[in-house]
Amino acid sequence: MCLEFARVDDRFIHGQVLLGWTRELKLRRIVIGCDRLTCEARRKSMYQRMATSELAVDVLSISAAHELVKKEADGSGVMVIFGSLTDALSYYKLGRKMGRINVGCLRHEPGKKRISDSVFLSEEDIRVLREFVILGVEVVAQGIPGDKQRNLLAVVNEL
Amino acid sequence: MVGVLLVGHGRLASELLAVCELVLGKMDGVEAVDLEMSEGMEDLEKKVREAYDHREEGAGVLVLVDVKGGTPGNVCSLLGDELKLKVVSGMNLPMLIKALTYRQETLARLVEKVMEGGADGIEELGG
Repeated sequence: MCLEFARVDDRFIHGQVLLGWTRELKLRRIVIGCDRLTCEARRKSMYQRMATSELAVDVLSISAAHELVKKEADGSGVMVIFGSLTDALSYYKLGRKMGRINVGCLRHEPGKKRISDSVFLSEEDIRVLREFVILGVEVVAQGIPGDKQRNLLAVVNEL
Repeated sequence: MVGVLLVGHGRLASELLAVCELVLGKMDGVEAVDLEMSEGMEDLEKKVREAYDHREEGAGVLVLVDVKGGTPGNVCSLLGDELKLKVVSGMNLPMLIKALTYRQETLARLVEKVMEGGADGIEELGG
């Protein structure tokens, strides 16, 4: 059995996901796991409207995302997206032992460290990143399928 | 008159406007908003709101965005619930020229003009 593809991206579903990953991974379902988004009706419906006859889009709390995804017999064709590494870790701890996490965009904010043009990490992000590494999870930055994969911990350790 | 905003990834919007101004000359009522790779949705929303405040003269604002499903379109379509604006995706030079030529039309009519202009601008030119 193949586990779902896990991504961390604070833009959630955007061009890189719809134009790049959907085709590459032959996605049939994208699940956004974000407690905050479930209470924001307009943003939630914006993402839900991206669904097509071939692609289901769900916006759920992290625990509801876990309940939905674990019912899938086969995770291939399923992407789960979180707005932060911390949320991805909460999901992991519910029992989804993904071996790898893909990181798309994490915006710049004051005090964050620059990893690439589109990835900036806070102290909290780096703490979670180290926890993932201890758990044996590889965390790689890769915006679109054609980009080179960059191991985030390796980049952080060089800073 | 209707204000016009261009919103795209990287420097697409500002470069498109620069090229358009080579053709039409310096234009009023239009502004480009660029989404840098390092910026998030909140950053872009703030910049779009500022540009909207500059360009809204009472007749509303037409927003052209680069691609359906991308962050510029996502952010702007959400603002449509709150601000007097309409968003059209697939921005290209013919659409922009159309938009700037017919700013005196109503916002709804300008949307139609721009969509016609964009489609008319796509043609196989032989070769």
